Amino acid sequence: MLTRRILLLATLIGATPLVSGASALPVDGGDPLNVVTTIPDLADIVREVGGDEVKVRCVAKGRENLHSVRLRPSHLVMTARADLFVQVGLALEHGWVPGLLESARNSKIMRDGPLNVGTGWPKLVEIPVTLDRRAGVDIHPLGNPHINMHPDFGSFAGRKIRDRLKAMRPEQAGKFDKNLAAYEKRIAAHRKRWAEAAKLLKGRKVVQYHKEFSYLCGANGILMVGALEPQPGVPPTPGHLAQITKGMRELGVTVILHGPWTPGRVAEDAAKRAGAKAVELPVMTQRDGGTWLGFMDRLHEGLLGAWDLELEEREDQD
Amino acid sequence: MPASVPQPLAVLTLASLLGPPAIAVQGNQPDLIPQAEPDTAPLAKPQEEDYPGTELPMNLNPTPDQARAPIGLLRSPGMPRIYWGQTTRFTSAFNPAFGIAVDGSFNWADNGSDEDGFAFDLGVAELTGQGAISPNWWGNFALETDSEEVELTEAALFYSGLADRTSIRAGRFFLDFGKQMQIHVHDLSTPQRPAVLREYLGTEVPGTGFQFDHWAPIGETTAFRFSTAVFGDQESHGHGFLFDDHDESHGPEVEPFVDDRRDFSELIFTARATAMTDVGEESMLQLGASLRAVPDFGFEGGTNDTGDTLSTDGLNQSVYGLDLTYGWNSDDGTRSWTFGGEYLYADGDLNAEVVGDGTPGASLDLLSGSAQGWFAFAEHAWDQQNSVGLMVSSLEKLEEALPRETESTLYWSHYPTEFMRVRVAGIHFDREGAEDGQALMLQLTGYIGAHGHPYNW
Repeated sequence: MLTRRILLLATLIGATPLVSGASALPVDGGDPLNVVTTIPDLADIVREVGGDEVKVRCVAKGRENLHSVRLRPSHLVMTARADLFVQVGLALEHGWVPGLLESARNSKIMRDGPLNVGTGWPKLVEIPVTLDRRAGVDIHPLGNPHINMHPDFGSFAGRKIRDRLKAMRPEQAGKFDKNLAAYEKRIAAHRKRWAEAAKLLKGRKVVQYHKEFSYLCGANGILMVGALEPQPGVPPTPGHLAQITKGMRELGVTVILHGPWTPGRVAEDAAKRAGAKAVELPVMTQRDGGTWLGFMDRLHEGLLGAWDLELEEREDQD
Repeated sequence: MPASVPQPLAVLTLASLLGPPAIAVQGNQPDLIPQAEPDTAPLAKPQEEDYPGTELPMNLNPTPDQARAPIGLLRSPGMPRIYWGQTTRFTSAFNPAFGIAVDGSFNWADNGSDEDGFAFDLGVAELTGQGAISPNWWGNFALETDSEEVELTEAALFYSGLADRTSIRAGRFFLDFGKQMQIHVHDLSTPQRPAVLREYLGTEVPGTGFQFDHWAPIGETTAFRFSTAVFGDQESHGHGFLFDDHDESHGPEVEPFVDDRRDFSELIFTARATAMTDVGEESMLQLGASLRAVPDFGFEGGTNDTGDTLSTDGLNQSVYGLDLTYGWNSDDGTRSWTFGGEYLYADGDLNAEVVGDGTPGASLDLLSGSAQGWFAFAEHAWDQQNSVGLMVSSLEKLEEALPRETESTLYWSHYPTEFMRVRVAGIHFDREGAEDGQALMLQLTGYIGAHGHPYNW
């Protein structure tokens, strides 16, 4: 019995390096850095800054609730092989990234830590005064973490990513600087259009389903009158919906913003009761082929469309 | 920031427009104030200004006053080594995460005997704690009570400094067998542990021992994991099971036991190997095989005419399991389908019954041989708050003649938030040679603070 058990144990342990060895991918100076990002926005920006020095994969697809992305085995595998893991941070992904990193047990990531591009974000809003579940379910101690919808995000994240890539590949520092400069130039061109949109949008009022558009609205001067969720992460209750739709009528709020993952039916019902319309906006870049600049363009077009506004014709910038 | 935007004026204007009802909608939250002014100018600030550093609005650098500790003033030779410095001087920022889980039900059951009716059951009240000891070590504990007794179901230390994807745990933790046995009953997606697992392994099976765990990637989309463990003891306890007492007609309870000290070859041994892989962009499939071998144990229960407890030892038992799980999630992550099942085969000395309890000829009648059973389930979540499921378990009961028992459970789970669950379930069991039983339950589960157990996929 003992011999049999020890043999079994030895077989299992002995199989470890065989299976592991098949997957080992040592990264030398000539290979692209394996980078895994939580959201497609970051994947796009890493590609812009890293160019051919990086091979980027992303976990979220683009329609999920950023606080609870469903993980698959491939996410575990890609994280285990990553040289760099990039997330927004600010507790945006705290529901699923810690478990992913702990399960992947990638010593490079554990040693250096993931790159949290949101650290040091200077324009945090909705920072809770006290931390208490009575204030909601999605409580973010550092403030609202949905900074990927702010026009400053591309450049802010790009600089953080450039700095980390320079530290990992110092010999390519010049290339990363150049790539970032070119990217920021393109961002500046887009921002002119976003600024024009902001002039039309300023002072308009919206209700959100979940407070994930705060930076987008804030940057465009849109007044956020309330949210369908009585508290962040708490589904709307009939009583709260009755109150808020009444308030919307009184204030003349004609738009409810919601993300792809929130129940559109609830937003549409509330909009109907308030004499408003529900507008679905993306909450992040689409993973397959999407760019952060394209995402921000879509957001501004979506906001303009919510009030049937249009910008003057323009030539493509990107 | 443009100076022309009159924030206070905006607030006053809106406040006057809003009136009392809308203020009630928002309470005193600052939603009526735009979160930021139009600010779409390109970043032109110097880099240093954009990067104020990595400061967080937390005080991780206590002032001397905050760091003052009531113990560990000065360590002199011979004093406990723990007083060598930092241990007594950190602030509460380094405390572990504590949590409380409460799980109970209001239920009606007709267990097939003369007893039926309503009951309020406290399934479990649980206190958990977890935290890192150092970069490579962390630990956790779980204390549970069903209002009758308090049990330490988990108290383990984990080490992950050996190599990538390898970890070791030592202490008291749940058996790694199949998809379910690591999981506490109050965390299951089903109202109860499937009948075949309860019968062949136990409702909850914490053991004290040592486990080696490793996983490895295979290709781009598959992960393979295995664990092996040895235990000095394993205990089975079964709070929260509605039909615990339905077979009292079979005589006094007989409990398995193991000796405190045994040869290494006589320790309880478990192993599990599992692989999971992507199936397209929205699905995954997991296969697993598990083993638990108990090479030396005994049964005890009942008494003879002199009051001595009956017992038998030198027994052995092995349980083998195969599991399969398929999961699908919609691309927005709000809807899902999960299908799964497990087949179990038990071999060896399976159970014992007391014959002639309290008489001079009292003895334990041993049931040896093999038995098998399975469970399967399907669950559908149509949004983030609601799911329905059906679970069926069929098994050869570990009793003389191995009567077939089938248990079916239909359940609806509603999550008002992720920290709370309300569940309604209907359960039916059908057993050869006995009356059918059924139950209805309304289950309420709440999590206060951080809730976590070291479940591994």
